[in-house]
Amino acid sequence: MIINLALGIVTLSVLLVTVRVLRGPSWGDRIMAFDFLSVNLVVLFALIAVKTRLIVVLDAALVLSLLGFLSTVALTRYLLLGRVMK
Amino acid sequence: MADFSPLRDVPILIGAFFVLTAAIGLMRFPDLYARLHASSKLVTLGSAGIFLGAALELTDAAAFTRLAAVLLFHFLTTPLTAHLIAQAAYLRGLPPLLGEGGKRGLDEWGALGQAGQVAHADHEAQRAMTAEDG
Repeated sequence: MIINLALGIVTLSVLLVTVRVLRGPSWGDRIMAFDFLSVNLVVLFALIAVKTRLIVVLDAALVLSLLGFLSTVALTRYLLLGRVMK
Repeated sequence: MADFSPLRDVPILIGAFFVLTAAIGLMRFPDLYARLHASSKLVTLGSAGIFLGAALELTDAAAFTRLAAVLLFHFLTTPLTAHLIAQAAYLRGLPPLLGEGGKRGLDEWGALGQAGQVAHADHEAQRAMTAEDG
């Protein structure tokens, strides 16, 4: 079944990106890989929703994408300015 | 391949292929800016393919609106985060690798590097001023 193949491929991608998060030479690499990881997890949630036929999982994907963007902006501002908010 | 339906499976396969390609690019590219290119370009197409396939498979108004919202959000925010990360790295003074395998790095970085140092000094001065305010 194609969904299982896609789940395996996206899980492999998540593992590769986790290696980049742990190993990334600079903090910019880690932040970028973390952002990519959150997008990957949203895609994984969408595939799980297709496999299990549960629409509720898509709500989790929506919240996770919002949190991923917010955490990326906060981490970048902390890297650049030394603080998150005024 | 008992239940192969092209309308669902072809976009999902294309999306999974692009997500894996972006992950491999993230591992293999030599530089932060090159990795940023790989992740921000490819993940848009990959997630678009997978969301399109999921929406065509679930055929539900609730699922369709949620997937469309997530996709629109990704289209809006992926360039934003890429720009923010590149700007932060550049203003912190990370030089990009230039030329074949980054061999020609520092010579051609000259003019660019001076611009980056000026931008960095501006940024530091602005930061000091705002620090005095708060």
